[in-house]
Amino acid sequence: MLAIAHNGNVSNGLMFDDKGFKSKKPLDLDYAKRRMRAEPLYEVTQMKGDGEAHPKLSPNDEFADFETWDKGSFQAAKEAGMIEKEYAREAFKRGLQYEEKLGANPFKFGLIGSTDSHTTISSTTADNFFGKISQAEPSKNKNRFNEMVTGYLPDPKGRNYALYTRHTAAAGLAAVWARDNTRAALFESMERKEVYATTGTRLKVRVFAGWDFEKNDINRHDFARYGYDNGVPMGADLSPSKYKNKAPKFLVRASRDSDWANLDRIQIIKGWTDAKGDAHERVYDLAVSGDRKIASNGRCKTPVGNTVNEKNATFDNSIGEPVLTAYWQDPDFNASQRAFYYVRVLEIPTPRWTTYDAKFFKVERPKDVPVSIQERAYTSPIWYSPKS
Amino acid sequence: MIKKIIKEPLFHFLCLGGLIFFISELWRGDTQSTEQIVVSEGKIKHISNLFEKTWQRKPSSQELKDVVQEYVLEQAAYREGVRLGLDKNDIVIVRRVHQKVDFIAEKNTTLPYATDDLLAAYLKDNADKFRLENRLSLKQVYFDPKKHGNNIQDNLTSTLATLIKKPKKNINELGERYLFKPSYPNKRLSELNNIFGNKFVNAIENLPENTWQGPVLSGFGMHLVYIEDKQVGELPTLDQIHSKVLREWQNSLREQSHKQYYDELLKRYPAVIHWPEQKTP
Repeated sequence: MLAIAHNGNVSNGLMFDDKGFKSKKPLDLDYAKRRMRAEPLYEVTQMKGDGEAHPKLSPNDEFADFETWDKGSFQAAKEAGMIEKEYAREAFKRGLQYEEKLGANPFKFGLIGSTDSHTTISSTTADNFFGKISQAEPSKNKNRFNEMVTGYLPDPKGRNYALYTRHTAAAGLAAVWARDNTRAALFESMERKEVYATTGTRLKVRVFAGWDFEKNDINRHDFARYGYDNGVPMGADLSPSKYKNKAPKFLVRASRDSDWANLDRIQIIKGWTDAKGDAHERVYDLAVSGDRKIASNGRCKTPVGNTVNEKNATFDNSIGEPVLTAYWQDPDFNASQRAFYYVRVLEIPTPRWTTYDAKFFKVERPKDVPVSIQERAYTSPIWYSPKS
Repeated sequence: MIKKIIKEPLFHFLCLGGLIFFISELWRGDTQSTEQIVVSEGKIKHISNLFEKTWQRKPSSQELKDVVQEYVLEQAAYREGVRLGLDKNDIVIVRRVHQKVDFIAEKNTTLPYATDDLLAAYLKDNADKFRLENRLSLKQVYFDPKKHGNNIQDNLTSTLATLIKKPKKNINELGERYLFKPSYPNKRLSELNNIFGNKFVNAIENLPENTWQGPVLSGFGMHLVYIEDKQVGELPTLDQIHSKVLREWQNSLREQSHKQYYDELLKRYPAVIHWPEQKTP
């Protein structure tokens, strides 16, 4: 049995709270164990916004502000201190601190996406988006953009925290790596967190971490078998190395949705705790398309470009790559620090569903949402803990 | 003057009307003030069962009193509302009644017993509804354009020549693997579509079998392909899909009955629709 929690970005600080939902007592060892036994997975992205990272929490991450819903929950507007307890990346970081303190990590979850549509239609692509609710089905009708989703209950302090159907994202999907396409195999993969989330497209990504990988392994024809035999996949724990002073190595392969957009880049998001117990995060670019270079600080700040034509709601694959691969060794590894690593893959910009709608139905495009977006995938992390 | 008024037919009419109104008011007033809401033992049992279905336990005696009282209030409000005519011109009520009539329309004819002969005939007449998807087995070698650059055409040609000469050659080490497999045995076209995309599947669908050929373009790059075991989606036998055929057959009868009912209904309620006149440009 396992349960998957809905998106925490509209939970008003409840999703990754520092106290129990019912008990109101600070999280303890028993809670951490129970939570991870019952809820190994988390819905990191869906129609009511994306919950990977928030620009306020990750100011150096230029991709952190994606389909952000941070105005409130269904009952009230957000207060200070809530966002910190709502986003997956922050929860992963705090999870490391809890593990240090309690002996177990209450936030050691894998990542999946889902629609949260109430239409029985699982349409997640921008050019085929059937809306969150039947009132917002594709049409010229004003409800398509302007039906209120959150914010219709009066805020106790009278603040406006409304978000509308135009703000919903055409998202998301749960991807599972399994040996067979059977219920049993899929469920086992979900239990061991070998899953990833996409914001709606079917891009593929696979990652292995190990101590003995070499640069050329990324081209191996027996990539998956070699990866499992000599490392661990997404969602797993990387055991401490038998070598001294050696950093973990990662092999990543990603390919685009067969009928959609090319890839911009592969990234690894690393989080860790230092000797003082403070948590940190850092984004590394592992592979970027075209002739762009990754600087010595591990980042490529040059955007991939944008082929989106707003008027015609089109894009083309003249930029980006259909396939990206990467071999990467953590340049800042410290064997005594707890850490997690997850992969984020970005697509090139494509028209947002509202842009397709404006073209198709000849209606005005809502101006408080972007013309184009970069769809993406987030893998479950790989965790590292030093020998205790 | 008075005499004149008494002789006036309008006066007679008003008097008579007033009398009728007075009597009818008396009559109506009587029943209105004392319409009972009777809650029978059976009804209480029903209410209790509903409670149990929701809460997975029997109601306590206080809870039962509460839900019965709720039912009484609901009935009172409903009857008063109907008396005031609140059920008229209400789209929710119109839709609910329409839905109930739909149930009647569909149950209008009792379904005949589904003999295997009837179902077999239905399966035969509606074969396309039940046919399985086309399948084929695919072997492929993928070439990443980025990796091969300007040599891609040469590399494709030479690899293809080798494969044509030695069709049984191990292809595991050829081209680039990435997230593709060398061999996809016995796949539905929709499965291949998910892996390689629409364009690719359309291109290979009608290619000849049992020979290496290509390159075929996909969103990822170039592929050399070998197709075998093409299977036109066959029609399963009735035994294999009995329950599915039964369901579809019953549904077709329901739809038929539904249509007949409404055809009859519209004879009794002919529609007069005043379309706005089309403006000629």
